[in-house]
Amino acid sequence: MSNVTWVVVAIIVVALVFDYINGFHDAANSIATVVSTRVLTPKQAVAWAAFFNFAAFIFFGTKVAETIASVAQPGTFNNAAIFAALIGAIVWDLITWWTGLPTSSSHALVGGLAGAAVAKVGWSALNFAEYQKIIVFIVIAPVMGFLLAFTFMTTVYWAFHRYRKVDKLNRGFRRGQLFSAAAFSLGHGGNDAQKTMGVILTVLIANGVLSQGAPVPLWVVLSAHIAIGLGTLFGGWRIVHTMGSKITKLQPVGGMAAESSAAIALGLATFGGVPVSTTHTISGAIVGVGTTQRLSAVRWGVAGRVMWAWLLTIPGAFVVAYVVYLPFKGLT
Amino acid sequence: MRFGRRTWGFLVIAVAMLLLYEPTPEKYRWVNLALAGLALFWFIMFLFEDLGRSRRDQRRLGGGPR
Repeated sequence: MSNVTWVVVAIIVVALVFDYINGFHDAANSIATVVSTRVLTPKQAVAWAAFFNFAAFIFFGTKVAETIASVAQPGTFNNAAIFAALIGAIVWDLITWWTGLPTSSSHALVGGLAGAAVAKVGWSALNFAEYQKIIVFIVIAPVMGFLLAFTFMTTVYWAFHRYRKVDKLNRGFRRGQLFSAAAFSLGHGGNDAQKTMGVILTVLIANGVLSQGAPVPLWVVLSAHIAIGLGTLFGGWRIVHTMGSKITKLQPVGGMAAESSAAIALGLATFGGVPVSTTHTISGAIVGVGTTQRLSAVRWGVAGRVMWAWLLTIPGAFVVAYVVYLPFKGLT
Repeated sequence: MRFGRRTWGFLVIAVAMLLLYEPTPEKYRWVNLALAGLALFWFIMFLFEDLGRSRRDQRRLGGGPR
Protein backbone atom coordinates (compact mmCIF):
# COMPACT_ATOMS: atom_id res chain seq x y z
CA MET A 1 0.00 0.00 0.00
CA SER A 2 1.44 3.38 -0.96
CA ASN A 3 2.01 6.18 1.55
CA VAL A 4 -0.86 8.22 0.14
CA THR A 5 -3.28 5.34 0.69
CA TRP A 6 -2.17 4.96 4.30
CA VAL A 7 -2.78 8.67 4.84
CA VAL A 8 -6.22 8.34 3.25
CA VAL A 9 -7.05 5.37 5.50
CA ALA A 10 -5.80 7.25 8.57
CA ILE A 11 -7.96 10.30 7.79
CA ILE A 12 -11.00 8.10 7.15
CA VAL A 13 -10.41 6.50 10.55
CA VAL A 14 -10.23 9.98 12.16
CA ALA A 15 -13.48 10.89 10.34
CA LEU A 16 -15.15 7.76 11.72
CA VAL A 17 -13.82 8.62 15.19
CA PHE A 18 -15.49 12.02 14.78
CA ASP A 19 -18.69 10.22 13.80
CA TYR A 20 -18.38 7.96 16.84
CA ILE A 21 -17.86 11.02 19.08
CA ASN A 22 -20.83 12.66 17.38
CA GLY A 23 -22.99 9.69 18.37
CA PHE A 24 -21.42 9.66 21.84
CA HIS A 25 -21.93 13.41 22.24
CA ASP A 26 -25.44 13.53 20.76
CA ALA A 27 -26.77 10.29 22.27
CA ALA A 28 -28.27 12.54 24.90
CA ASN A 29 -30.46 14.28 22.33
CA SER A 30 -32.07 11.05 21.21
CA ILE A 31 -32.65 9.54 24.59
CA ALA A 32 -32.81 12.37 27.13
CA THR A 33 -36.57 12.83 26.93
CA VAL A 34 -37.34 9.10 26.81
CA VAL A 35 -35.14 8.54 29.88
CA SER A 36 -36.29 11.59 31.83
CA THR A 37 -39.94 10.49 31.42
CA ARG A 38 -38.88 6.96 32.51
CA VAL A 39 -40.37 5.29 29.46
CA LEU A 40 -37.11 3.35 29.00
CA THR A 41 -34.15 2.68 31.24
CA PRO A 42 -30.95 4.41 30.12
CA LYS A 43 -29.52 1.12 28.75
CA GLN A 44 -32.67 0.26 26.79
CA ALA A 45 -32.91 3.80 25.46
CA VAL A 46 -29.32 3.83 24.29
CA ALA A 47 -29.74 0.49 22.44
CA TRP A 48 -33.03 1.69 20.91
CA ALA A 49 -31.46 4.94 19.66
CA ALA A 50 -28.30 3.23 18.38
CA PHE A 51 -30.34 0.76 16.33
CA PHE A 52 -32.34 3.54 14.64
CA ASN A 53 -29.20 5.65 14.13
CA PHE A 54 -27.85 2.75 12.09
CA ALA A 55 -31.14 1.98 10.32
CA ALA A 56 -31.36 5.57 9.05
CA PHE A 57 -29.29 4.71 5.98
CA ILE A 58 -32.32 2.87 4.55
CA PHE A 59 -34.53 5.96 4.61
CA PHE A 60 -32.38 8.93 3.68
CA GLY A 61 -30.31 9.71 0.62
CA THR A 62 -26.90 11.37 0.67
CA LYS A 63 -27.79 15.00 -0.07
CA VAL A 64 -26.37 16.28 3.22
CA ALA A 65 -23.06 14.48 2.48
CA GLU A 66 -22.93 16.23 -0.90
CA THR A 67 -23.52 19.62 0.79
CA ILE A 68 -20.66 18.98 3.24
CA ALA A 69 -18.39 17.92 0.39
CA SER A 70 -19.05 21.23 -1.35
CA VAL A 71 -18.56 23.74 1.51
CA ALA A 72 -15.25 24.75 -0.07
CA GLN A 73 -14.32 25.37 -3.70
CA PRO A 74 -13.22 22.23 -5.59
CA GLY A 75 -9.52 21.50 -5.09
CA THR A 76 -9.28 23.38 -1.76
CA PHE A 77 -8.82 20.41 0.53
CA ASN A 78 -5.78 18.22 0.77
CA ASN A 79 -5.19 15.54 3.38
CA ALA A 80 -3.62 17.95 5.90
CA ALA A 81 -6.55 20.39 5.65
CA ILE A 82 -9.13 17.65 6.15
CA PHE A 83 -7.13 16.32 9.10
CA ALA A 84 -6.97 19.83 10.63
CA ALA A 85 -10.74 20.28 10.10
CA LEU A 86 -11.50 17.00 11.85
CA ILE A 87 -9.18 17.76 14.75
CA GLY A 88 -10.79 21.20 15.10
CA ALA A 89 -14.25 19.63 15.28
CA ILE A 90 -13.21 16.79 17.61
CA VAL A 91 -11.35 19.08 20.04
CA TRP A 92 -14.31 21.48 20.19
CA ASP A 93 -16.75 18.58 20.67
CA LEU A 94 -14.66 17.16 23.51
CA ILE A 95 -14.35 20.56 25.22
CA THR A 96 -18.12 21.08 25.16
CA TRP A 97 -18.81 17.45 26.12
CA TRP A 98 -16.49 17.85 29.09
CA THR A 99 -18.18 21.07 30.17
CA GLY A 100 -21.61 19.47 29.71
CA LEU A 101 -22.79 21.89 27.04
CA PRO A 102 -25.06 20.51 24.33
CA THR A 103 -23.43 22.20 21.35
CA SER A 104 -23.64 21.00 17.78
CA SER A 105 -21.13 18.47 16.41
CA SER A 106 -22.35 19.44 12.96
CA HIS A 107 -21.49 23.07 13.37
CA ALA A 108 -18.17 22.08 14.91
CA LEU A 109 -17.44 20.16 11.69
CA VAL A 110 -18.59 23.02 9.47
CA GLY A 111 -16.46 25.46 11.51
CA GLY A 112 -13.49 23.08 11.35
CA LEU A 113 -13.76 22.72 7.57
CA ALA A 114 -13.98 26.50 7.18
CA GLY A 115 -10.98 27.09 9.47
CA ALA A 116 -8.80 24.60 7.60
CA ALA A 117 -9.88 25.90 4.17
CA VAL A 118 -9.19 29.52 5.14
CA ALA A 119 -5.81 28.59 6.68
CA LYS A 120 -4.81 26.82 3.45
CA VAL A 121 -6.17 29.10 0.72
CA GLY A 122 -7.81 32.15 2.32
CA TRP A 123 -11.42 33.33 2.52
CA SER A 124 -11.92 32.82 -1.22
CA ALA A 125 -11.82 29.05 -0.60
CA LEU A 126 -15.23 29.07 1.04
CA ASN A 127 -18.36 28.29 -0.94
CA PHE A 128 -20.47 31.06 0.58
CA ALA A 129 -23.74 29.80 -0.96
CA GLU A 130 -23.44 26.56 1.01
CA TYR A 131 -22.41 28.40 4.19
CA GLN A 132 -25.34 30.77 3.77
CA LYS A 133 -27.70 27.77 3.72
CA ILE A 134 -26.07 26.24 6.80
CA ILE A 135 -26.00 29.52 8.77
CA VAL A 136 -29.63 30.40 8.00
CA PHE A 137 -30.72 26.97 9.21
CA ILE A 138 -28.84 27.49 12.49
CA VAL A 139 -31.79 29.76 13.31
CA ILE A 140 -34.52 27.99 11.34
CA ALA A 141 -33.98 24.43 12.69
CA PRO A 142 -34.54 25.20 16.41
CA VAL A 143 -37.40 27.59 15.57
CA MET A 144 -39.04 24.82 13.55
CA GLY A 145 -38.59 22.39 16.47
CA PHE A 146 -39.99 25.00 18.86
CA LEU A 147 -43.08 25.90 16.81
CA LEU A 148 -43.95 22.30 15.88
CA ALA A 149 -43.57 21.10 19.48
CA PHE A 150 -45.64 24.01 20.81
CA THR A 151 -48.36 23.31 18.21
CA PHE A 152 -48.30 19.56 18.93
CA MET A 153 -48.60 20.09 22.69
CA THR A 154 -51.36 22.69 22.44
CA THR A 155 -53.33 20.49 20.04
CA VAL A 156 -53.02 17.57 22.46
CA TYR A 157 -54.22 19.77 25.35
CA TRP A 158 -57.20 20.97 23.33
CA ALA A 159 -58.07 17.48 22.16
CA PHE A 160 -57.82 15.75 25.55
CA HIS A 161 -58.60 18.41 28.17
CA ARG A 162 -61.98 16.83 28.95
CA TYR A 163 -60.60 13.30 29.01
CA ARG A 164 -60.65 12.00 32.57
CA LYS A 165 -58.70 8.73 32.29
CA VAL A 166 -55.33 10.37 32.76
CA ASP A 167 -53.46 7.12 33.52
CA LYS A 168 -54.70 5.50 30.31
CA LEU A 169 -53.75 8.60 28.37
CA ASN A 170 -50.28 8.66 29.89
CA ARG A 171 -49.77 4.99 29.01
CA GLY A 172 -50.67 5.80 25.41
CA PHE A 173 -48.19 8.67 25.27
CA ARG A 174 -45.47 6.57 26.89
CA ARG A 175 -45.93 3.98 24.15
CA GLY A 176 -46.00 6.76 21.58
CA GLN A 177 -42.70 8.05 22.91
CA LEU A 178 -41.01 4.84 21.81
CA PHE A 179 -41.96 5.68 18.22
CA SER A 180 -41.08 9.34 18.52
CA ALA A 181 -37.67 8.46 20.01
CA ALA A 182 -37.12 6.03 17.12
CA ALA A 183 -38.14 8.69 14.58
CA PHE A 184 -35.80 11.22 16.17
CA SER A 185 -32.92 8.71 16.17
CA LEU A 186 -33.58 8.05 12.49
CA GLY A 187 -33.39 11.78 11.84
CA HIS A 188 -30.23 12.08 13.92
CA GLY A 189 -28.55 9.15 12.17
CA GLY A 190 -29.70 10.38 8.77
CA ASN A 191 -28.44 13.94 9.12
CA ASP A 192 -25.34 13.47 11.28
CA ALA A 193 -23.87 10.31 9.72
CA GLN A 194 -24.06 12.04 6.37
CA LYS A 195 -21.73 14.78 7.60
CA THR A 196 -19.01 12.17 8.11
CA MET A 197 -19.84 10.68 4.71
CA GLY A 198 -19.29 14.18 3.30
CA VAL A 199 -15.84 14.35 4.89
CA ILE A 200 -14.87 10.88 3.63
CA LEU A 201 -16.18 11.84 0.18
CA THR A 202 -13.96 14.95 0.29
CA VAL A 203 -10.91 12.82 1.22
CA LEU A 204 -11.61 10.36 -1.59
CA ILE A 205 -12.06 13.19 -4.12
CA ALA A 206 -8.97 15.06 -2.88
CA ASN A 207 -6.87 11.91 -3.42
CA GLY A 208 -8.30 11.11 -6.83
CA VAL A 209 -10.00 7.92 -5.64
CA LEU A 210 -13.34 9.40 -6.75
CA SER A 211 -14.08 12.10 -9.29
CA GLN A 212 -15.77 15.41 -8.37
CA GLY A 213 -19.55 14.90 -8.11
CA ALA A 214 -19.28 11.11 -7.69
CA PRO A 215 -22.02 9.43 -5.57
CA VAL A 216 -21.21 8.29 -2.03
CA PRO A 217 -20.02 4.63 -2.11
CA LEU A 218 -22.11 2.14 -0.10
CA TRP A 219 -19.19 1.18 2.19
CA VAL A 220 -18.88 4.84 3.20
CA VAL A 221 -22.62 5.01 3.97
CA LEU A 222 -22.55 1.83 6.05
CA SER A 223 -19.34 2.62 7.96
CA ALA A 224 -20.62 6.11 8.87
CA HIS A 225 -23.89 4.70 10.20
CA ILE A 226 -22.11 1.93 12.14
CA ALA A 227 -19.75 4.50 13.73
CA ILE A 228 -22.56 6.84 14.84
CA GLY A 229 -24.61 3.87 16.09
CA LEU A 230 -21.69 2.62 18.19
CA GLY A 231 -21.06 6.15 19.51
CA THR A 232 -24.68 6.39 20.62
CA LEU A 233 -24.43 2.95 22.23
CA PHE A 234 -21.59 4.15 24.42
CA GLY A 235 -23.02 7.68 24.75
CA GLY A 236 -22.13 10.01 27.57
CA TRP A 237 -24.37 11.11 30.38
CA ARG A 238 -23.22 14.62 31.11
CA ILE A 239 -25.42 16.14 28.43
CA VAL A 240 -28.42 13.89 29.10
CA HIS A 241 -28.87 15.70 32.34
CA THR A 242 -28.87 19.17 30.74
CA MET A 243 -31.20 18.17 27.91
CA GLY A 244 -33.61 16.01 29.82
CA SER A 245 -34.23 17.91 32.99
CA LYS A 246 -32.40 21.20 33.21
CA ILE A 247 -34.15 23.05 30.36
CA THR A 248 -37.65 22.05 31.45
CA LYS A 249 -39.32 19.13 33.23
CA LEU A 250 -41.00 16.73 30.81
CA GLN A 251 -44.04 14.43 30.97
CA PRO A 252 -44.46 11.54 28.46
CA VAL A 253 -46.72 13.67 26.28
CA GLY A 254 -44.10 16.44 26.28
CA GLY A 255 -41.30 14.00 25.44
CA MET A 256 -43.33 12.61 22.58
CA ALA A 257 -44.18 16.11 21.29
CA ALA A 258 -40.55 17.25 21.46
CA GLU A 259 -39.16 14.16 19.74
CA SER A 260 -41.80 13.98 17.00
CA SER A 261 -41.43 17.67 16.20
CA ALA A 262 -37.64 17.47 16.13
CA ALA A 263 -37.87 14.32 13.97
CA ILE A 264 -40.08 16.14 11.43
CA ALA A 265 -37.68 19.10 11.36
CA LEU A 266 -34.64 16.84 10.93
CA GLY A 267 -36.34 14.72 8.27
CA LEU A 268 -37.27 17.80 6.23
CA ALA A 269 -33.74 19.19 6.51
CA THR A 270 -32.15 15.86 5.59
CA PHE A 271 -34.33 15.39 2.51
CA GLY A 272 -33.51 18.97 1.55
CA GLY A 273 -29.76 18.33 1.92
CA VAL A 274 -29.27 20.83 4.77
CA PRO A 275 -26.85 19.82 7.53
CA VAL A 276 -28.61 20.98 10.69
CA SER A 277 -27.86 20.49 14.33
CA THR A 278 -29.83 17.74 16.03
CA THR A 279 -28.92 19.38 19.34
CA HIS A 280 -30.38 22.74 18.33
CA THR A 281 -33.50 21.15 16.95
CA ILE A 282 -34.37 19.03 20.00
CA SER A 283 -33.48 21.91 22.36
CA GLY A 284 -35.87 24.19 20.46
CA ALA A 285 -38.56 21.51 20.67
CA ILE A 286 -38.05 21.01 24.42
CA VAL A 287 -38.35 24.77 24.97
CA GLY A 288 -41.53 24.70 22.82
CA VAL A 289 -43.02 22.06 25.11
CA GLY A 290 -42.03 24.04 28.22
CA THR A 291 -43.58 27.21 26.80
CA THR A 292 -47.04 25.60 26.59
CA GLN A 293 -47.12 25.44 30.38
CA ARG A 294 -45.83 28.93 31.09
CA LEU A 295 -42.65 30.77 30.20
CA SER A 296 -41.29 30.32 33.72
CA ALA A 297 -41.37 26.52 33.15
CA VAL A 298 -38.34 27.01 30.90
CA ARG A 299 -35.11 27.61 32.73
CA TRP A 300 -33.99 30.49 30.57
CA GLY A 301 -30.63 30.74 32.32
CA VAL A 302 -29.72 27.23 31.13
CA ALA A 303 -31.25 27.86 27.70
CA GLY A 304 -29.19 31.07 27.46
CA ARG A 305 -25.96 29.26 28.41
CA VAL A 306 -26.70 26.67 25.74
CA MET A 307 -27.30 29.45 23.22
CA TRP A 308 -23.91 31.02 23.95
CA ALA A 309 -22.26 27.67 23.39
CA TRP A 310 -24.08 27.41 20.05
CA LEU A 311 -22.90 30.83 18.95
CA LEU A 312 -19.30 30.01 19.84
CA THR A 313 -19.19 26.59 18.15
CA ILE A 314 -18.43 27.58 14.55
CA PRO A 315 -15.83 30.24 15.52
CA GLY A 316 -14.33 27.91 18.18
CA ALA A 317 -13.87 24.94 15.82
CA PHE A 318 -12.73 27.37 13.10
CA VAL A 319 -9.91 28.70 15.29
CA VAL A 320 -8.76 25.21 16.42
CA ALA A 321 -8.71 23.89 12.83
CA TYR A 322 -6.94 27.05 11.60
CA VAL A 323 -4.21 26.68 14.24
CA VAL A 324 -3.84 22.91 13.62
CA TYR A 325 -3.36 23.52 9.89
CA LEU A 326 -0.68 26.22 10.30
CA PRO A 327 2.30 23.82 10.80
CA PHE A 328 1.28 21.94 7.63
CA LYS A 329 1.20 25.17 5.66
CA GLY A 330 4.98 25.37 5.61
CA LEU A 331 5.23 21.76 4.41
CA THR A 332 2.87 22.03 1.43
CA MET B 1 -53.73 46.93 27.95
CA ARG B 2 -50.65 44.73 28.35
CA PHE B 3 -49.76 41.83 26.09
CA GLY B 4 -48.13 38.73 27.56
CA ARG B 5 -44.53 37.74 26.94
CA ARG B 6 -45.64 34.71 24.92
CA THR B 7 -47.64 36.95 22.61
CA TRP B 8 -44.61 39.14 21.94
CA GLY B 9 -42.39 36.07 21.63
CA PHE B 10 -44.44 34.65 18.76
CA LEU B 11 -44.49 38.02 17.00
CA VAL B 12 -40.70 38.23 17.30
CA ILE B 13 -40.35 34.71 15.82
CA ALA B 14 -42.65 35.59 12.90
CA VAL B 15 -40.69 38.78 12.18
CA ALA B 16 -37.36 36.92 12.47
CA MET B 17 -38.51 34.28 9.98
CA LEU B 18 -39.60 36.99 7.54
CA LEU B 19 -36.29 38.85 7.97
CA LEU B 20 -34.46 35.61 7.14
CA TYR B 21 -36.54 35.21 3.96
CA GLU B 22 -34.06 37.12 1.80
CA PRO B 23 -30.83 35.40 2.94
CA THR B 24 -32.47 31.95 2.74
CA PRO B 25 -31.73 30.14 -0.55
CA GLU B 26 -34.77 30.27 -2.83
CA LYS B 27 -35.36 26.52 -2.66
CA TYR B 28 -36.00 26.69 1.11
CA ARG B 29 -37.93 29.96 1.41
CA TRP B 30 -41.24 28.16 1.80
CA VAL B 31 -39.95 27.01 5.21
CA ASN B 32 -39.59 30.64 6.35
CA LEU B 33 -43.10 31.46 5.16
CA ALA B 34 -44.63 28.37 6.78
CA LEU B 35 -42.91 29.06 10.12
CA ALA B 36 -43.76 32.78 10.01
CA GLY B 37 -47.39 31.82 9.29
CA LEU B 38 -47.48 29.39 12.20
CA ALA B 39 -45.89 31.94 14.56
CA LEU B 40 -48.38 34.61 13.42
CA PHE B 41 -51.23 32.19 14.04
CA TRP B 42 -50.09 31.71 17.66
CA PHE B 43 -49.47 35.46 18.02
CA ILE B 44 -53.09 36.14 17.01
CA MET B 45 -54.43 33.40 19.31
CA PHE B 46 -52.52 34.79 22.31
CA LEU B 47 -53.54 38.33 21.34
CA PHE B 48 -57.21 37.30 21.59
CA GLU B 49 -56.51 35.57 24.89
CA ASP B 50 -54.79 38.69 26.26
CA LEU B 51 -57.67 40.90 25.07
CA GLY B 52 -60.24 38.56 26.62
CA ARG B 53 -58.35 38.50 29.91
CA SER B 54 -58.01 42.27 29.93
CA ARG B 55 -61.77 42.70 29.35
CA ARG B 56 -62.58 40.21 32.10
CA ASP B 57 -60.27 42.05 34.50
CA GLN B 58 -61.86 45.41 33.66
CA ARG B 59 -65.37 43.97 34.15
CA ARG B 60 -64.36 42.47 37.48
CA LEU B 61 -62.89 45.77 38.67
CA GLY B 62 -65.93 47.74 37.44
CA GLY B 63 -68.52 45.37 38.88
CA GLY B 64 -66.83 44.65 42.19
CA PRO B 65 -68.36 45.31 45.65
CA ARG B 66 -69.00 49.01 46.44
